[in-house]
Amino acid sequence: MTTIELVQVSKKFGTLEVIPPLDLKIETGEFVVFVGPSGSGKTTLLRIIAGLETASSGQILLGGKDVIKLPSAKREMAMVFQSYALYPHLTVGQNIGFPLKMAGVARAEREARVIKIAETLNLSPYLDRRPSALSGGQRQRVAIGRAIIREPRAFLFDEPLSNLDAALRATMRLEIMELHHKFNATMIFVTHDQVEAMTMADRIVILNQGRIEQTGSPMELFTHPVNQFVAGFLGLPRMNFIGGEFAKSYGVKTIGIRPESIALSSGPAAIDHPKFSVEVGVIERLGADSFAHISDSSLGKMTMRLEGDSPIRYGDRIMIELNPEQFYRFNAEGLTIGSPIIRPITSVHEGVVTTINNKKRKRL
Amino acid sequence: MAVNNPAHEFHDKLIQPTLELDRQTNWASRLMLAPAVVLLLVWMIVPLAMTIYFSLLHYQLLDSDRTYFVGLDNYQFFVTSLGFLTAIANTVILVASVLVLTIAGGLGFALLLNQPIWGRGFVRILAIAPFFVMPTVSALIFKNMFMNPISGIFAHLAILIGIEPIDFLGLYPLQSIILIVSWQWLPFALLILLTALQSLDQEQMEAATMDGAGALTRFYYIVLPHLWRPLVVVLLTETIYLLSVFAEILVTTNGGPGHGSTNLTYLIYARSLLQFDVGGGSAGGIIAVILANIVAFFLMRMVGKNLE
Amino acid sequence: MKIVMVYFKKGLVTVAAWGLGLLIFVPILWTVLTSFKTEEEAVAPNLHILNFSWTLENYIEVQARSDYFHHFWNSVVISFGSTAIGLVIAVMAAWAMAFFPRRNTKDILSWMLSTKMMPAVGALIPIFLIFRDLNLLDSKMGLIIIMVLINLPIMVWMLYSYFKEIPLAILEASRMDGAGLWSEVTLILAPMALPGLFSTGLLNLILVWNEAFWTLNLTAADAAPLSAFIASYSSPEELFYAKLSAASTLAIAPILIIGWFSQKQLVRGLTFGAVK
Repeated sequence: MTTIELVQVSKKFGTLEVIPPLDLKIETGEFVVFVGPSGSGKTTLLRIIAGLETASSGQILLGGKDVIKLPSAKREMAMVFQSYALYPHLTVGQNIGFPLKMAGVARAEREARVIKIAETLNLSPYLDRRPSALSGGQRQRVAIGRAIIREPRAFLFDEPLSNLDAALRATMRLEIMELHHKFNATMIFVTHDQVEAMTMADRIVILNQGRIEQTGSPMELFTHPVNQFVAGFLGLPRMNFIGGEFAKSYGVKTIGIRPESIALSSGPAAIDHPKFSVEVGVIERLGADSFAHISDSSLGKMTMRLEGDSPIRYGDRIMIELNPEQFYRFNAEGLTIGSPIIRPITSVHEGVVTTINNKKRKRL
Repeated sequence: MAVNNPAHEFHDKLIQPTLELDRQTNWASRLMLAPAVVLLLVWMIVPLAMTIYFSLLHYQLLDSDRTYFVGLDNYQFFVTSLGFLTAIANTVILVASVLVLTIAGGLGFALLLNQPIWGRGFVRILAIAPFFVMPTVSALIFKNMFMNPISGIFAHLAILIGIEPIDFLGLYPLQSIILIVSWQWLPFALLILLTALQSLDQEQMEAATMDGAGALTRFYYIVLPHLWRPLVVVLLTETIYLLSVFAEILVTTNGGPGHGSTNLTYLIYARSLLQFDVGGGSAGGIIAVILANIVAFFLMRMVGKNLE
Repeated sequence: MKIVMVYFKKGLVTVAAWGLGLLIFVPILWTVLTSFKTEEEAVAPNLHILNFSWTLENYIEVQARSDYFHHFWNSVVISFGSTAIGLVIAVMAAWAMAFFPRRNTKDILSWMLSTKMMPAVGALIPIFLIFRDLNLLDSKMGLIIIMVLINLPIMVWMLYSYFKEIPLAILEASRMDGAGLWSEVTLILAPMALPGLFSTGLLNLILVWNEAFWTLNLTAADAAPLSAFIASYSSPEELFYAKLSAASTLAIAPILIIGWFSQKQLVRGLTFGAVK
């Protein structure tokens, strides 16, 4: 395992600069997630590290040595692809053993190691099958087996879970995290799914239009986003943004408030807590929580969290109150001004976030 | 969540289809492409250049000592020669008739075979068989065993129903050749259109039926657009081959009677290798190339839009 | 009642389809049947369909009189030879263009296709004269060269469309796994491309076997493959329908069988990958 350091790495296609020069250091054994919307350059960045794409400038240091000129085959990293990219004409065993064959490992040792890996990944019964005879989850495990067998210097994951169904995705997330701890592996994981980023990462790198918006631990980014983009990107449902007169009264361009920070008003509110009467639209019930889409002429459309068994119905009118201590404040450039005071987030919330995301996926 | 920035769409498009080239692979890929390109370049340029050169000479194969430059005389002579206009007309009639017969017939038969029937696979096998018969053989079979006015099957059948047997190749040489060539190419159109029909999205058809579209409406708005691409390909491929029909004419009529079934290809062949007039044949060859390129220009524009 | 109607309709369509299919097939069927008749039965006006004295005499006669298998062998050598050579050249080109596309790749592909637009007759005289001077007239080698050249664009296109279907991620995976260019091509790409190579080869075999313009113009007694040799039956001196049929049956049988087994791949090849 090794450190990975990008120094002024950039990528141009012709005159189009898709990744302006950027620096990033990844420590040994760190699990880093690149997350961002499509077109943010996260996959390109990963492919540059892998050597599948050449950088237009800059250095890539693996354990301190520049590898920018080395082809992928010599960088000794392993990659798990979105499409699994298994060799369709080889058996599962041959697929997993392929990197060892390339490394010139003798047949007997190769087979022994394949058998061992297959056991840890529950693939033993399938070693003689072709990938086409496996389910999606099994194929994913073969791809992972192929990656870990050579004990590479780092693992690269390119949206590996996006082709799996919701339940499997949750399981595979755990398995990958398990692997990370077991091998103390340096891992870079690319995803557009903020739930994967939040749940798996030691450190998240948020990319947007080729630039790093912010890096930090999941909770750091969640509680202290540097700008409106990061604030809106992490957290499900999304943070509500309020502009206009309301924001102006607090001296900022935009106010952000998370759905779980909007409270139902019962009785008199605290003196500085603004109250609003809002109309309730569609309610998404998830069991433990419900999320109500509410609207108000001065606030616009927002989402708020309710109790799972809340009696509120579509079309109701309710009173809400907002606690300015939980406001995120953004200036005209979208940068965060000051820090909000955040209630500690309980672990229950993360669970909720997962389920919502999965539900949304299924519908898509 | 998707940011629809055109620059980034462009970026996605760019990173999708390419593998990164290191120097070794870069060289290897150029080297690999070279033989095909060089061969085809030579194949395209050398004969063409020679043909153009010969077309400007008085050059008789049997009298090659008296070869001299004559400018465009060969062209004038070829264009004004007796068979030229007939050959052009015959070529156009042949290509157009066969295209119409095979595409209409092939489409009709394909639609029929796309219905639920017993033994579709077998009928399909029967129907596409003529495509695999070499042109010389199909011409011989038709000439002797079917169209022969004395002992051919058509003659026997004519006597059976009490009419005079017809000398097909003597009286209707071009039409007879059209029949033979159509017999060979109808299976081609059928095979391709049927394959295309079978890949038609059934959900789309069902959705249209749910929306109340009748059979004709469905054909016009769903089936036909789906078949457009294969139809263009059939048209293109057939045209390329039909412009050069040769063996069928050589075997059946030798272009006769008179120039009755001579097409441009056959006329040039006769001038070059029967009359040994290299200059005249070459001028004809260049004219054929120009005509083919005019046709190709339009066809390629259609296909260019349709392939990828 | 409704079910009956459905079956009735299916029956009707079936009859029509079978009728048409048989009608198209009749010339071939008739040829095969005639090849087993005596010459007298073959021309008899009362149309023996199955009630004739089945005989293999014509096949023996055809071989004895014209050294039939010499020409059959020529066909085999020319079609397999040109297919092998053509595949090597086309695979290299298609590989380069499918996996390492450049700005001009699309142009090269359509240019290659456009060489097919050139009418053969435009090249007839130069090729004839070049072949005469190089002693390639009536030689198998000469025909193999021509066959490679005329079918190369189709082979490149077809292979290109097959190669395009191999996911690049798989090749990239092999690189990540430490495979160099040689291992990538031989261990990963080649096995995956095999079905495409096979279909392309089959299509080329069929096209070459049936080619008749160049074979008629460039060969005589020595190197003539069946497509040219058969034409010598066009001016008969005696009763010959049965022998013609026997010769024809032998000439078309191999390719008919190959063709029937490779319908799917054929469609794809003949449409340059546009219809699958």
